[in-house]
Amino acid sequence: MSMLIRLPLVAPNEETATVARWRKATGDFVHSGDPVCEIETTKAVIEIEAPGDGYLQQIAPEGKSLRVGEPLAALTATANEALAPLLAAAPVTVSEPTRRWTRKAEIMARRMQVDLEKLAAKHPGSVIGETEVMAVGKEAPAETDRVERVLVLGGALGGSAALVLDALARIPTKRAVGVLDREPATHGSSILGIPVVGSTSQAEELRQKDFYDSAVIAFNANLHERAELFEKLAARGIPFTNVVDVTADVRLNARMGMGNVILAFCHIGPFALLGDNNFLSTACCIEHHCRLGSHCAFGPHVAFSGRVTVGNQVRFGMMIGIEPDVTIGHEAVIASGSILTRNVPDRTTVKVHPNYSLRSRQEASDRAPG
Amino acid sequence: MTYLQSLRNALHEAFAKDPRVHLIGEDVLDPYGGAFKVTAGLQAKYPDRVLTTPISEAALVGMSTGMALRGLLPVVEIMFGDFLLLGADQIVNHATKFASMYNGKVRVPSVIRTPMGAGRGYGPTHSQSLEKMFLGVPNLTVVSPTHAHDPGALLLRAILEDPGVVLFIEHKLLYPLPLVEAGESVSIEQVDEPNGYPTTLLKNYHAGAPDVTVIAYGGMSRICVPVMEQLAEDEVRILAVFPASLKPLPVATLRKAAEETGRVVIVEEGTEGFNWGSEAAAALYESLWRRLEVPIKRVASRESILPAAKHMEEQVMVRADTVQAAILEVMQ
Amino acid sequence: MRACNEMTEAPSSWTTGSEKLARTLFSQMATIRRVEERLLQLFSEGLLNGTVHTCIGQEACAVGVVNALAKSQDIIVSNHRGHGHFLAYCDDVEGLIGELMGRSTGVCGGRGGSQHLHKNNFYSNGILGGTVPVATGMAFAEKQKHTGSIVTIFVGDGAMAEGVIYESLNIAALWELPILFVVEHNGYAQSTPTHLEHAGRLEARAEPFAIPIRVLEASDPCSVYHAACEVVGGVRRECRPSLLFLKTYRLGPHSKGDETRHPSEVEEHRQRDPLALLREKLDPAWREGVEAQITERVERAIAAAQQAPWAEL
Repeated sequence: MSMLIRLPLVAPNEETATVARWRKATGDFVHSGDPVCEIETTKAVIEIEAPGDGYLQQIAPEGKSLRVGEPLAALTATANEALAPLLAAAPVTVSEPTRRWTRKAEIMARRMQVDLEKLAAKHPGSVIGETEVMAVGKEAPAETDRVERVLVLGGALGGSAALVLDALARIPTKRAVGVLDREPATHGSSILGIPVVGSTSQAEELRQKDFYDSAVIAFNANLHERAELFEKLAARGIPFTNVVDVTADVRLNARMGMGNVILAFCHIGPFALLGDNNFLSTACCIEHHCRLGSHCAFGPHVAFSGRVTVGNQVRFGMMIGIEPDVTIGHEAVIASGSILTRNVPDRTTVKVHPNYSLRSRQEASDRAPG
Repeated sequence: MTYLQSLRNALHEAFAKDPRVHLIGEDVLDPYGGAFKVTAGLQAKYPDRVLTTPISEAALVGMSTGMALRGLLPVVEIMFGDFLLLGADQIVNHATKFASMYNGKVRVPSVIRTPMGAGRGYGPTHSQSLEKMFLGVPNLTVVSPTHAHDPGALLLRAILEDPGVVLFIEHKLLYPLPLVEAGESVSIEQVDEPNGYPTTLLKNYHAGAPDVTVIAYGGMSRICVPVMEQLAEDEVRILAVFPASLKPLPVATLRKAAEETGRVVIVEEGTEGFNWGSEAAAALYESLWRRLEVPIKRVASRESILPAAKHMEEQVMVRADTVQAAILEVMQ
Repeated sequence: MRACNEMTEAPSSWTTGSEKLARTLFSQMATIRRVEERLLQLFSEGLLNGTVHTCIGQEACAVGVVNALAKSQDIIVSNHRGHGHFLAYCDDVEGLIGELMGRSTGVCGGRGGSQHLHKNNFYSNGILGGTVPVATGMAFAEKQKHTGSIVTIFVGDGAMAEGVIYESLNIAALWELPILFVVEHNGYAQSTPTHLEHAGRLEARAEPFAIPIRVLEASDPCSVYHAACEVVGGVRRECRPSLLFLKTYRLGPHSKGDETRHPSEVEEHRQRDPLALLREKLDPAWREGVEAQITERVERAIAAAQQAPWAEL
């Protein structure tokens, strides 16, 4: 029965040894127990004995260093027997699965929101590296030479401008340069250090004067007016910018149009889709795969579950919950405290009847006897 | 040239250069030449200056102090670093105090060298990395070369030039390894440090800026260097900093390397918590606050004994896969 | 002022009962006694920090042994109760007091204090037993350098329970090192009497290592001196260790304020105070003159220390 003679472990922690001297030659017939070669470790020289009878075939030459378990020689039943089958049966190291991209490419793709699968598909048979990823990827907010100058439209009186200016103040790549408001009494004042420089009608004029790079609409008391102003200015080529608070969390593959205001601690889940010119107050949550139209306004703490669809110019009060898969039509109004479980058609108002009453304490004491 | 050969050659050189050099240790008589054979040939050549001792670690360390106080340059070999604690009083309360408490009138130029480290299945009391326990001792220099250093040169410096007590930590698993040479996969640069024990910088890239800074010492080079070579294939560019002087800590060199990436992994074999990495991280946070992209990641062995069974020992120890995972983690 | 204990380098030439020897040893003992008593007082006045472990009652051990050594080259390693050894060796009253008062004139610049003194070849440290291997290593170094110097290491009976001493005895005997172990057995390890501290016979501790042992009552400094000369001579000539076991008694507390023995016991020993016994044998006029000089010197040293600048880091 043919077999391989492998390098044994002769002493603890001796993982390799060198073939020092062959005592028997290839073709020699050896008996069980005959010393066939000498191996040398860091501590000693050891004799290797034949494990059985047979014809010896040397595999490792003198001087070669082997790891424990590697074949030293073969003992075959017949002389000149082919060794290939014996060696083929030797343990094969598991080959690693071929990879399509480097780890670095994977990391950069995640940072830059690049679809690696798609990119790899474009280059079959080659390994995608960071260079390829960087070529496609959007730049993460890189340090630009110029900070984007933003003009805030409206909301000087109601507080909305202040909200937008506050969010802008923490965004390192943007800077508010002015506020326009239709109420003349506000002109010349300043909000959080930013001057109210004129009326919303001056937007184009100021653009020509290169006073700003992009605009965002703050007022949202009247969504129709908000939408109108947006459409008008956009049509005239005024660029709009998104103001996303630094504490808001916009997740993987979420997308939005332009002119959106997203205030502190909002959460926009993966694959959510927002249109343009929406105003989301603090701590709103638009969960995964939602689709929000344009020109909507949200009070604080409005939460959409997954896959909610909302049209345009929809107004949400505060502390609202929308269950998954609900659809809300255009120009709907959802009152504070609503929990929606059913679809809402266009131009519908949803109201909740709070379960409390109001009674003045003064009345009660007037009615008390004596 | 292996790590062990480098050390052995340095000992022979030290003995040849200066007749004040003496070595005491257990089982150093030739031909046995010491448990790890580092001193092989030394006793045969210098029989009156290389003495084999009874098993008395406290006395050995104490004697080296007395010898140093009286003008010799002693080297004590403590067979396993785990036994160093038997001499801890002598290190803390005697050797490192005399020069200072006697107002600078005496010097104790001694070297205590010992191998630390796990990976051979020797079990809980023969596998530890206890140098962390000595990092807080004033007036003690703790040196631990990697196999990307010239360990012999460091030992020679400790023996012949260092005026104080040096705790010289070797790693058992580094002994048979050939010293790292600059080549295709890794470039090496040596940075001189004020106390004369240089830091080695390694890069697994030749162009571009590094992605991660890996800080490690001693035996961890055996893991970090192959990990660097492997990650090079994945385009992860690593700047590795291997100080030889654990204490004093070469903060300036560490900071400069950490600044380049803002992403730092500190790797050591000792148990986690209250260790070398804690000090290095704290020192880096002080000077790099706000310039780090992510918090510093520290990798160390689990706070546990080192079990004898190899597969369990591996689970407790720092491994290539844990180092790699840490590097990738700070990249996210 | 000329130090009272200046002597030539040929101590072994004096004969038993020599008046000069007795006077020399008395002066040293009286100096040590005076310094130690004053230190305890200074402590009460709040002028010293830390504590002091005085050797009151044991002075004969210090002066008897130290004077048998070749002071210009021999090495002394002492312990927490080392003022007597220190003063017998170098008579630096001013440096000792300055040191304990934290002044820059202190022998170690205020950094070592009472238990950590060094001058020339005198070294002390406060870890009991820990000094012994250091002393053994020093002896080895001296042997290697062929200087002919010997090392004398002083330990108390309490320290004899520390393991590292036995490691050192073993190596000293095995390697034939020129080291003299002096055990001052005062019957107490801090507050613990010998019978609660040690099993077997303490004076026989070095026997298993085949180290010659000499046991002696240390009531007469002159006989301590003569015994020490013989023992020291043996160590130096044959280059091998020896142990001198001195039975003595501590008349002061373990450290300031730390006294647990019964007053009658202490009083009984005070009647046999070696210093007083020696004093009786000396010429009254001479001894009073010497005592006056010592008193004046110690007071001047204290005053000088108080004037001296504080030590700086």
